[in-house]
Amino acid sequence: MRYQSLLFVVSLLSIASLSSADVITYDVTVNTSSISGTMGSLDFQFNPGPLLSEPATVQILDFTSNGTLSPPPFPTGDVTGALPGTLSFDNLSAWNDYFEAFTYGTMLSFEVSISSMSGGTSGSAFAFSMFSDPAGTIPALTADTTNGYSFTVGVNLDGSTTVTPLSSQTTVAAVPEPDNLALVGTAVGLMVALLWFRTRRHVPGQILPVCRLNCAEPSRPL
Amino acid sequence: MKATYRVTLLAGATFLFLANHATAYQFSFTITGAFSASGTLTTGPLTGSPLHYVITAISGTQAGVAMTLLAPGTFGTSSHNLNDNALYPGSNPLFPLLDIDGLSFEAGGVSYNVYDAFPGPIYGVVSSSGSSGIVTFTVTPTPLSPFATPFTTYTYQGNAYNTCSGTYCTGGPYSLSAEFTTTLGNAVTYSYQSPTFTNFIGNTGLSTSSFVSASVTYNNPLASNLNDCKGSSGGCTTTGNLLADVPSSWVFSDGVRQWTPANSHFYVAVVDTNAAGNIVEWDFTLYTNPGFMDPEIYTISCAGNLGCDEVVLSDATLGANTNVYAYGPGSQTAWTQGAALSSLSYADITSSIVSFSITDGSGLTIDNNNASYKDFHISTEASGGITKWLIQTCGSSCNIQMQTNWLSPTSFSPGADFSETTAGFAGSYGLISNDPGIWTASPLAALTATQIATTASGLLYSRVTRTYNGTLTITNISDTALSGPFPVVLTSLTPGVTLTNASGFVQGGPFINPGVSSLSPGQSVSVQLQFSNPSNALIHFTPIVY
Repeated sequence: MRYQSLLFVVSLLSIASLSSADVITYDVTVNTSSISGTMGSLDFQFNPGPLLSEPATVQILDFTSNGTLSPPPFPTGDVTGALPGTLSFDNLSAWNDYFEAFTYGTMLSFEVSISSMSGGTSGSAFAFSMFSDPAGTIPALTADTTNGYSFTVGVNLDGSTTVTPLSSQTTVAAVPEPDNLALVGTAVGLMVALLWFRTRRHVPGQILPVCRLNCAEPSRPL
Repeated sequence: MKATYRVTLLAGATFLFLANHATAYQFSFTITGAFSASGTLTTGPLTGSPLHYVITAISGTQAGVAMTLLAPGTFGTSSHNLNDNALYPGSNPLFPLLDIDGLSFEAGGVSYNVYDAFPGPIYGVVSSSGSSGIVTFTVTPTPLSPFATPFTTYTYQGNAYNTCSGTYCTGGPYSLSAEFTTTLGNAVTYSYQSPTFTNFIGNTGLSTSSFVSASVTYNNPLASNLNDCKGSSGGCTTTGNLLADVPSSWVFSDGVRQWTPANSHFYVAVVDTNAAGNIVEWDFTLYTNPGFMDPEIYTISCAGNLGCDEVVLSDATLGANTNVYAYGPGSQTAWTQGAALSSLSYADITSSIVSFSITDGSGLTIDNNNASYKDFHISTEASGGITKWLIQTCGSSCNIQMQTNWLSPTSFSPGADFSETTAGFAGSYGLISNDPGIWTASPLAALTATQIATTASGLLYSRVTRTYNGTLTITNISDTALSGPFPVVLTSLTPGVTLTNASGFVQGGPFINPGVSSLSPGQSVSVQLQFSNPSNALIHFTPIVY
């Protein structure tokens, strides 16, 4: 019975780690030295698709740069916060966008944390763009001269994400989510403990009777 | 014969595996001679080589008794093959309507097999009662209201060449076959009547009781929010192209003059439309035939930088370079958008082609994947059947022409009922005379939720192009392969939103064409979507895949 309870707890933890909203975080670092001193602009956006998109959110965290932001920012749609603080987006409006003029230094970095759920028939999409003009019309540091995105992150129907890099100066690296790590660690620890417990209780060659009634105490060998 | 039978079975299996989602074809038939019968044959699409239909149902009577189709391979005699129920409706002397395996049906407890009694189109009949004889067998295609859906698929089977050159003289017989899908059934007529004129400059021959009545017919409904840069509002969508979308037919009349395609051609045809796709500003300028700028220019317009309800005439008979004007009170009268047409006079339908494929039977295939040039002129009956056609395609090194009843222009040799194909521009050709082959039309049915799944990515806004961009993916979720071209109509698109990379427009809205001919089970294809959305409204639509 104790084994079953432990297995149940482990199973619950495993299921919980799968069924909750997936949180995926990326570390983003951009080498802007080639346009250092340029008065340009930065753009972040997170939008739904045209069919049925599940609710999803994005946070921009830990924005750091030796460049200079030029307030005021121009938020559009469902976005709150201001750089260098945390920005929060949802995907309930068509265009959820944060735009701000920026004088480039030699680098900038930030984290993108995407929380999403599986389901629906449309994904959602995040994009980061840099421009070499304050109006945001001339793409910078990107091979995507058509739209000017430095990279995009597609939120797929199964809750996973797909990164599309478009800038050789930009690195986007996935980082393990601490909450998920703790949950997985707890589950693994419990499983190890369970195996250790079973190994200690079970003497090789000894046949344990099947417990059918009053199983509070293990039956003694005959 | 067994080999032929196996080939036929293989073709049938191929047909069953590659499920064409066009609806079935129907042919009325008569049998006279040794016995009489009449009714309707229902078939699947053309399949196999040589191309043929597989009869899937029969209705009608034989001597007053209802007939039922016998499945392929279920009726023959000790001296006759099992039936394959194949129909070859090309009326070709080398390929009669039936092959020697024939068509089998049952009536009044007796099974019959009608077959090609080689040589030539002579048909025999055998029955389970032991009777036999010679019959005459005829079929006539029955169009199936092809305009019932936004897309119509036309299929053509020509006859074997009886004149040939080069490769077409050996290894044959060869014949043309073709299939194209079009939005032709969406043709719309817009009608207009101006107020009576109040002002005149010069002698127009018009009076204060005169007005202009006009109708223009487009092969497809006009897109919403068109701005052809002839009006006062900004955001031109067809800058510099004064013939971006020319009507396929027109009638302009002011009580003194009347202009139609028979006596005029367009120099300018630009319109602005509202959100409903109706004409709100326009500039139509006609040159009267026969020559360019000769002898008369006729303009009616109502646009921001032009007059409203205004007629401008430049008529050589009024004096050299003399313009005369008649115009109304300046009030703008609305156009009326009519219902979809059921027939089309001989017209260029190139812009309405969704996909096409033409083969000459010798291995040459030209389709929308390898043709750099295409030109489709056809006319249709009220039933949708094609009565007259000139179709030319050109890939990187080859060209196909097929035509019948073509009367002009003179750059092509006029001829009664002939088709021609030319390969590689090297003079290698086949020619058919006095027998135009057969066209059949069928509505393209919408795919169901158990056949196709549609998903989309998120839409990202581009500050450069000022558009929202994403992808639409369709996936075959059925157990069988599906045949294309899979145009996706974006119905109930958010008002004010425009699909800027639309392949065309149909009654349900804009459509996008993925450009694939088939999808295997589980296979997907994605297509880019680009939207103009000036008000940043939440973009939504309901996709319907055909």
